[in-house]
Amino acid sequence: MEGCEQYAEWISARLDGPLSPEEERALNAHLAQCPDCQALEKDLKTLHEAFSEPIGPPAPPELLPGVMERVRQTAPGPRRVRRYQVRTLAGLAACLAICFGLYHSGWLRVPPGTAAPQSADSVEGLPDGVTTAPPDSGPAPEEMPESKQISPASASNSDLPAYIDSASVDGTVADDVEPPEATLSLRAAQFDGASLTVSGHEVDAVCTLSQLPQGAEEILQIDAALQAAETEQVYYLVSREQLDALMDLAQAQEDVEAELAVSESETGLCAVVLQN
Amino acid sequence: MTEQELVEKSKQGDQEAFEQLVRDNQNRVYALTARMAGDREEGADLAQEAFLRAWQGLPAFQGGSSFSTWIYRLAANVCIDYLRRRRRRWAVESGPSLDDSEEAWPEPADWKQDPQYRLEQAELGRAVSRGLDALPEYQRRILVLRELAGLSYQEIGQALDLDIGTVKSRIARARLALRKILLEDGNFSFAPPSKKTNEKKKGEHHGRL
Repeated sequence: MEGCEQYAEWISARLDGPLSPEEERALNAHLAQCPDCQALEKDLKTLHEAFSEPIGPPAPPELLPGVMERVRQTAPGPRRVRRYQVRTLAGLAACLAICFGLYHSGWLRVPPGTAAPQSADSVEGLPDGVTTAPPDSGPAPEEMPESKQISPASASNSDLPAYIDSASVDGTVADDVEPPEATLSLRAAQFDGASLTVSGHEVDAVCTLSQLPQGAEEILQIDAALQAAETEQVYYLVSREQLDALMDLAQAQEDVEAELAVSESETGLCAVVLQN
Repeated sequence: MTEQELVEKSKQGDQEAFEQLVRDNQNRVYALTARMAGDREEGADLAQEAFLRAWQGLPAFQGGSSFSTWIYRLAANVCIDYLRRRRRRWAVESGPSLDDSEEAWPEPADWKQDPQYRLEQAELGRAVSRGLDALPEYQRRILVLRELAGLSYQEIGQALDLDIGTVKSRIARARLALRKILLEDGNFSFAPPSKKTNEKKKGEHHGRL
């Protein structure tokens, strides 16, 4: 086998896909006169095929019930992404009604953070600054085979700890299974099953507004507006605090419609997208 | 019910259908995640995460590949994310020098203590399984990504930050190392041409792999 390294590499590579015609020719010529490489090829082929046998260890018995328990808590579809429409929200009575409704829809029973232990865990113990690298996504081969645009059809009902689901004019809360019909679309936002991005920025949450609410200029720099390349929608990158403040304003103004999508990432970055 | 029927039902929210899909794929997914993580408990958590992502990603799953193929790739991505996070943490704790995959992760737990592990393998699968566990971590991972997750060289390169040439040679070396381990392991026979040739190979491989 002295000097056979290159051939060994080709023998291995040929198990995974075709070689170039030159490599193929050279390897075959070598194999014809090297018994060691013939034996090697036979062995590696056996090994390669062995991987289609069950390769242990078998799954522990608690895996299946564990998965199904979490499945029962989660409707199919992207996690913790839902949309809602704010018309108005007036006074304490409405707030109380919402809190009551939230409790009954189950959100307030799960503190934020426990719903996504893997994210919290990944950040734990890192000094400040490191958390800016998103733990669960990154540029990564995080390719779900199909990434999809968020549309009303793909929004799901799942837990959303920090935000209000839906509120209507009379202050009653939809303790419902079906989310209210959305009037806005999150076209500028992309959701790939784990992370939300707006024009390439990974964000924790995207709020789409029919227009900026009055007073928005006190929360964000209006001239810091950016434009999404594909949809040409105007958007702002904001902190969670800014997003919360904008949502408060939007809720208080009847002529502003808002839709919210939240991912499980914790980049600290959020986006506000204007409907165009 | 075929896999495709189970997928269709699951897409419509049928949890029993999804449960069957999990049952059918859990062993291989777990074999993959446990080996990538090098830890049984982490492996179980990662497998669970992979299945949950599958459940959530089902509406977007077009059926261009089989569900099995899809879930293995999902599981591989869950593991790669996990290893990245772990490596980042490790790098923060130990300084910037440990960026090479060959040293950044600890050796795995010893599977062999588990009686179930010993019982449930076909002979060949068991031998390969043992051999995998005896490989150094970086060789085990690259082989698992190729053979269990079915990733292409290019995808493996992206996952591990390696160029394709390096991926190709590392996979070849991992296979040679696995073969060497199995040849030395008396329980497994490749039916080599002769014992003599076999001995000779061992000597030559030594130190190079």
